[in-house]
Amino acid sequence: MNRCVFTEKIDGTYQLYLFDDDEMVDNTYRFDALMMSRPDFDIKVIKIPNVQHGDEHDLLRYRIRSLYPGTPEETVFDHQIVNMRKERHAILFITKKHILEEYREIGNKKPLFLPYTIVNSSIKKYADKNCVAVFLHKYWTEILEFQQGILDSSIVLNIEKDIIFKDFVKLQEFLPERKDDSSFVFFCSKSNVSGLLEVIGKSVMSNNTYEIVSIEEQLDSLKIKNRFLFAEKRKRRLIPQKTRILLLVFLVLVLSGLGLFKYVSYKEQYKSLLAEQLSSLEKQYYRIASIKEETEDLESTFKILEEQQPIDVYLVLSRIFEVIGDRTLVTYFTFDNGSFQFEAVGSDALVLIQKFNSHPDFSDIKILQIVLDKGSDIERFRITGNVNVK
Amino acid sequence: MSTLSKREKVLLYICVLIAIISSMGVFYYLMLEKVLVLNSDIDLLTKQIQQMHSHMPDEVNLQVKRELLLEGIKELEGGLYTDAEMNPYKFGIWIKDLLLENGLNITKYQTIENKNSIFLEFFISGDALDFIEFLESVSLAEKYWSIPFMVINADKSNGQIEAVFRITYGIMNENI
Repeated sequence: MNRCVFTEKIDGTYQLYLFDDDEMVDNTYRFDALMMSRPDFDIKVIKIPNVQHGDEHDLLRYRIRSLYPGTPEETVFDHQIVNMRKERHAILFITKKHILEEYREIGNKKPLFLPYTIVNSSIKKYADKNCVAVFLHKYWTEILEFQQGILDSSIVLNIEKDIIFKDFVKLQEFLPERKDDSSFVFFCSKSNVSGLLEVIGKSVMSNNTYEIVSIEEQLDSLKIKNRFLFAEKRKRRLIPQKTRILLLVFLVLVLSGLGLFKYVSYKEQYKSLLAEQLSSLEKQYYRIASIKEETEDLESTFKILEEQQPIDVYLVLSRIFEVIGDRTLVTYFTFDNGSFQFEAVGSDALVLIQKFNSHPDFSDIKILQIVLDKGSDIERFRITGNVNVK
Repeated sequence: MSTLSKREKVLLYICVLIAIISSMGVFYYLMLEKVLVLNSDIDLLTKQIQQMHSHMPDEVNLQVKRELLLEGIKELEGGLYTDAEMNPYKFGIWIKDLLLENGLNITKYQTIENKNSIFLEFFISGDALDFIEFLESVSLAEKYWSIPFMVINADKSNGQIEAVFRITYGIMNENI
């Protein structure tokens, strides 16, 4: 929060000033926060009972009627709740509605604050003690009395800073008399620090514990997260953040649970699909197995029937005569269940044997006897073998 | 109705929270356990299906083979007589008539009973070509006529032969 300005009404118009040397700037100057004029506000500290957060504002509005002379419609206020031990206190910043609107207009929605904002954040080290803060302004002076770090009272004096520097006794008249270990904290611009030191040193105040704080340094440490005044109320969320986080976690758990449930149901469907497929395959297997068994039975039946098919003797004789030809004369032939034997007269019986052996229908061909006729090439021979022609 | 104090509200809130977290925990535990069981079942089923596929016989080939076998059996059975269709006496008359039609002389014929079969044994003489024609007729018979034994003596030079043969017919076995 580097660029802070303060404003004062001069000749009916609010003027902007820099904290450094109280230099006046025009209204186009860009700033981050605006310190309002303390004399425009009334600051009250009241004790309040424990009420619900939402009811505090209504309670305070009711209490202000007895504290502030303005009409309720024309009165606006902001408050801060502070707890001291088991007691609750509200610090009220009260002003007229039109004054606040003028500040908001000149502030152009920038954060607004009072010297209390600076002082309160600077006296943390006096939280266990009592202290008096004196805020020296170009046109006025504010005296804030703190007890145990909590604001007890605040008064504003229409005494200009320069007058105090010239005559410090004027200020002393308004300072509370302190016999305890109370400390004094003076807030002034950086350029006035040394002058103030000199002035205090010459006064009886020098016997007290005091500290001089530069306003500019405190402004530098002023953060946007500080509690500014009369900030536009943000819309309250319907659901508190903790509940929202819990709901989110619950939602994630429920959604992941649903996802898991869906995954399980998908797996179940897949399993039942596989089970159906297996059952169908088993049925198919048993059906094919019965066909296979039937086919094997048919094969054995076919084999038996094929074996029953008789050897065709006519074809046997035809095949034998195809082999032996016209030049060989069969004189005797026997056939007994596939085995045959014949006696024949012809030439070159060995060639005949070769022909039988190379024929696919004959097997185990043997020549038993070959008798040659004297004086010729005629041979008498006997041949045996097996034949299979169906 | 009395309102709850802040302490009671906090306790109630904690109880509700514990109840929700516990039930969610139980739910998650059960669901995860179920997922594990389901995964294991699915693995088992997948393996069983794969095994079933690998051991599944080829149905189309089996059907084709079965049809071919049925046709073949029907054809083979077509060559066999039933008991009602044929008996040895009727068959003997047919063969005798066939031999005579082919000009062959029947010297003797007799019935020979084997274990399960009955054969007709014929002693014949005649022209060799007539006998071949007879054999051709036997070969071309509508059903199976079988000559398991045959002796032909063709020692004569005039084309005459003497032959002995046993003949029977195929009969359907009811046990097949």
